[in-house]
Amino acid sequence: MGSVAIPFSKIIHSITGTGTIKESWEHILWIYRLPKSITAILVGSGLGVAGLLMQTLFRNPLAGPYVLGLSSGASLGVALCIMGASLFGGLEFIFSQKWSYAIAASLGSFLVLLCVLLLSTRVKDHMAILIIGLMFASITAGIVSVLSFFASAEALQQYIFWGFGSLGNLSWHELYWFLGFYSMGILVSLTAIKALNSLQLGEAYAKSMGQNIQQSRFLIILGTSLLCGVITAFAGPIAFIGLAIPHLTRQLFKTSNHKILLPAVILLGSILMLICDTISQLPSSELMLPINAITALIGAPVIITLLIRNRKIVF
Amino acid sequence: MKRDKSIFVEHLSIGYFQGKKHEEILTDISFAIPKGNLVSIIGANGTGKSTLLRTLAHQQPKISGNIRIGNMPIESYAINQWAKQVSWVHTETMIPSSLSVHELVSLGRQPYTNWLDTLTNIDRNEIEKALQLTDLDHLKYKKCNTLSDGQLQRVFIARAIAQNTPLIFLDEPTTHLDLHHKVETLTLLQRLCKQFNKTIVYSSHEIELSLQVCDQVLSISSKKVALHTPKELVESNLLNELFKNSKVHFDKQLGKFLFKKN
Repeated sequence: MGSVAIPFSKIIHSITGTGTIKESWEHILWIYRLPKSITAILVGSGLGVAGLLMQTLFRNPLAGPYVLGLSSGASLGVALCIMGASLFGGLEFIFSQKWSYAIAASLGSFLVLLCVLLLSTRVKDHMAILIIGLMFASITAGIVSVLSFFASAEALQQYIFWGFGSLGNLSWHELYWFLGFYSMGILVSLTAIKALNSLQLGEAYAKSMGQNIQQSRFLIILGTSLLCGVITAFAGPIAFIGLAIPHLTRQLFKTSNHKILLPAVILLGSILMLICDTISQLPSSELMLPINAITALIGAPVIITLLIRNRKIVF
Repeated sequence: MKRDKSIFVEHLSIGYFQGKKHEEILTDISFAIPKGNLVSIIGANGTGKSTLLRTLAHQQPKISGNIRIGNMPIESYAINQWAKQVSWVHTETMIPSSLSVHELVSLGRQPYTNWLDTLTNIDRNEIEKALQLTDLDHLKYKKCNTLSDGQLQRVFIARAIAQNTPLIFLDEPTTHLDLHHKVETLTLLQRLCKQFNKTIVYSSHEIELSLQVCDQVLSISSKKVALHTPKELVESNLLNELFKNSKVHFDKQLGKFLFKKN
């Protein structure tokens, strides 16, 4: 076991269908590596977009799906599916489907985001919102602990493995579901670009420039929860990447115009996540690191840098 | 003669809502502002200048009474229709955004653009015009977060000009500016009124300057709102009532506030 090196030319052969390569290589390529790369692309770009939407919506550079508790909300949805399914006897079949994870996780993040948004109108402090997000994470963790107390050992194990976060393990069938939800989330986000641009100046300005604030807010929340929900459902809670990618993109592209930022975030998010995935594979070694370790190592320093330069945050 | 009136206010009460209760700040306000006038709202701190301005600009709900703008009650406007009628500038100098000057001014075209915010030639012309009027052409590609307060204020005004509305409301457009830039800003507003027949209402603490450039002044004193021409206002005793029990008084001859001599 461990990493297998497949020459680049052989990969091209396999994809284009020209020439022949070893059957085991073909198998590795099509059943493991390609789905995993696609997952990495969807996760990186999706979380980046979710983070960007939240940072603009809250006008807070420290907002992101993980820090504000959205991933926790999604985890709760998944926990209910995995461990609570037996409570809804007879419906187990429905709750054990991956797409039901996605729906439950999206609903979970939607609810958390809604709560944080409601509370954020009362606290103006950037840091206070982060603490509220943390508290939501604690609340959901508490509920999950209660659930796990009643869950079967098998379900508990399944949940814990899911909780480590992983880009692999997805079949093509699951990937289609993933892609479906992801596309919906991205499409919704695209319709919010105009609103996002004027929301940067604050709600009073956005309203005076003809934006229907309620409607744009709903679109942004919907897009964010769809993306965050489906990603968490299929890949587990992935830390910090959603916060870090928009900042890195702003640094690189030096703009706040969402018409450029949003596609740029998608591009950079995909690339960064593919790099994270490559590192986690530790090429030419037998070890494989959990993806969350890598994203935390990259993401957390970004947040610390941001906090230190708090006065001068440009976003 | 309502038709020539750009803003028509009748028995208006303004204030804040707190749950179901509301707290009235000013009541029974009635005035009419003709098209093409530059009007400033003056009054001491906390008398409700900004509240009045925000209520007129539909940024906060009124308590009772009528406000008609362009001969239509402000409640009857759809959001996008309203954005083509009224633009809004308020004092917030901090924008944590690296939009360029051109990008920020283009935001003013949002009421006219499609869902993807694509600029047409008409939009580009309006943006150019706004940049030239505010003398920002040479700063077009600079990032907004690198500008000085005075420049940023001009960018926001340019954005309102690009929005191309018959009415512009500005909340304290002269704060944070030095005397030179205050005068620049006010003369720009005056030019917009005269040249493009816009109606502009702004709140300000610059009473002496406002008296020199405005067509009319809305003064708030003793919980009463009154509309006067600057000349009438100087001749009435209202300016002395603006700041009660204070150490300044208004000298009618000099047109200035002076320290009271004991």
